[in-house]
Amino acid sequence: MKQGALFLIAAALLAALPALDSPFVLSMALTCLMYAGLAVSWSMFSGPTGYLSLASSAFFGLGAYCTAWGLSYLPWPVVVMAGGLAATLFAFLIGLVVLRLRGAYFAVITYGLGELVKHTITHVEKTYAGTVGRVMTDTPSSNVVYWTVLIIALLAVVTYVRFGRSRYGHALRGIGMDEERAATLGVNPMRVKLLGFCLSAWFAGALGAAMAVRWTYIDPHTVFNPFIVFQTVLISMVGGPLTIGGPLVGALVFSLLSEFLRLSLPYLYMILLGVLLIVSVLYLPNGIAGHDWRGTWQKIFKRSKAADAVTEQRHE
Amino acid sequence: MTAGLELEVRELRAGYGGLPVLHGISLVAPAGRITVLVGANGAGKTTLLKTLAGVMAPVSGSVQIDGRALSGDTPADRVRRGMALVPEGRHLFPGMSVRENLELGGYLASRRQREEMLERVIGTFPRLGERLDQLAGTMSGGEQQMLAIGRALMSRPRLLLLDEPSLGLAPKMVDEMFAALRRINKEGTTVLLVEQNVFQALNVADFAYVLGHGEMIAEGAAWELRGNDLIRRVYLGEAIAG
Repeated sequence: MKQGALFLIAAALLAALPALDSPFVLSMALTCLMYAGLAVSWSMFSGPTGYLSLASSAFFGLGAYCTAWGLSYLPWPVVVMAGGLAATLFAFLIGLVVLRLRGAYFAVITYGLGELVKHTITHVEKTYAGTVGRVMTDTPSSNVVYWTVLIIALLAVVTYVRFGRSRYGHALRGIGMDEERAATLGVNPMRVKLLGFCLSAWFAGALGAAMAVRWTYIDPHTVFNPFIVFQTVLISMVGGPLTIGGPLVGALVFSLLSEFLRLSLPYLYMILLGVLLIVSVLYLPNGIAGHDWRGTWQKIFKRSKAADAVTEQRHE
Repeated sequence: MTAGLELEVRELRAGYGGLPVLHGISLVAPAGRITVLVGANGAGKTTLLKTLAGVMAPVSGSVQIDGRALSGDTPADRVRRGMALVPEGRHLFPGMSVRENLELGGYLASRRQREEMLERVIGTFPRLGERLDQLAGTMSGGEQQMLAIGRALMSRPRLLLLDEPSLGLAPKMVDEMFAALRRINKEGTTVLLVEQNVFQALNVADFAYVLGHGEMIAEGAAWELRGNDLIRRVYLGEAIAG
């Protein structure tokens, strides 16, 4: 209940942010919310199963292209929903095949399929539309875009929590730990994995659809940019994908840090992010949110001040 | 009370990638009874249970529940029919809480049924009720075994298969576990118990089979096999020597 109240307060504050009338703050918040939404949706499936999906860029790009194609014909909410559905449909079709794979094979093939979609769209656009990129006119105001992304991110958070507590969420975690075991309890692993994968894809697609209008001009290389999924995975891993706080903290830290680094140390920016990833993988395997901070604190404290007492306790 | 299901296995052959493990075995676990299958390591006990649960496909032969063949049924179909497996080495989900493990056991049941069964399982194993929020992996071996059985009970099975439930348990826990099995059986569930702990298994069982290297080498009423010289020599002798 306490968490629910916190959620509502945060949602209300974020919804009121455009009142500050600061384009810089709004743009920062938008990026942060986009990555929060992407990381939460990624963690929804990849957290419990341990399947490292690199398909988020493909979902995001498909959503963006839905906007590019449909914005002049359809109302804004429909465009965003359709972007999500396109990604879901794609996830369903590839999921039937790729969800049979595990480990590195799964990661590589989801990445490869994203590239395949990018090149297919480039080809189709060149052949039939005679263009590579698309300019969008009649785009909604930046406040509307912000609120749309906020709603999708909030929906992702609610879905993450509710799905994680449902029997499907339990089943997905069971599959991540031991697929055969989960099957003997009556779980149909393929069906549950597909459900999680499709659910996660909807949010990435809807976010792509909403963000597309921010750029007014899109081409396959900007919206199917693999950097989007790399950042998403980085955020989720650094934050910790197994608790809802993880991807949220990760997105916040990451957006602020990358903005600060980009402004102050433009040449060291990427290097520092790389170091951050290495450090977090080595020392925070469960992410910032999943880490036992009290334990670390006690360890440091006891090691320096009461090392003997600790050794004694350990031997008992 | 629920009525137990009868399990019948006929001429079952199974193996891993062309390497045969079971060479045509047959057995019947009569409805509402406890049947025990004893056999040394490598005799094919786990292979048999995996085949029964549907996670491994047989090469040939049939498995029937109450006279109806199970061929082509997925593991989930078998759970729906009333079968539940307590796997070897317990195989819990260590990173999930006791409650989550139990709830996953009742995956196919409705939410209401799941809550009802949770109450009943806690009634059977009160210790699980005290530790609902504890991570399964942090419990003692005996408690984990109780949880594994409780998790299987969550699907309201009418046929319970257990793979070496006494393995690695302290003697007191073994007694407690066998007593729990007897209670579960009294409530109408057919039990097929696969065990290396021959002596105690024969004490709780009605019928017994002895599996050796993929073939049945003896079968009969449990009390008969208790007096069987072969069993004494092969298993009890081994147990004393080991």
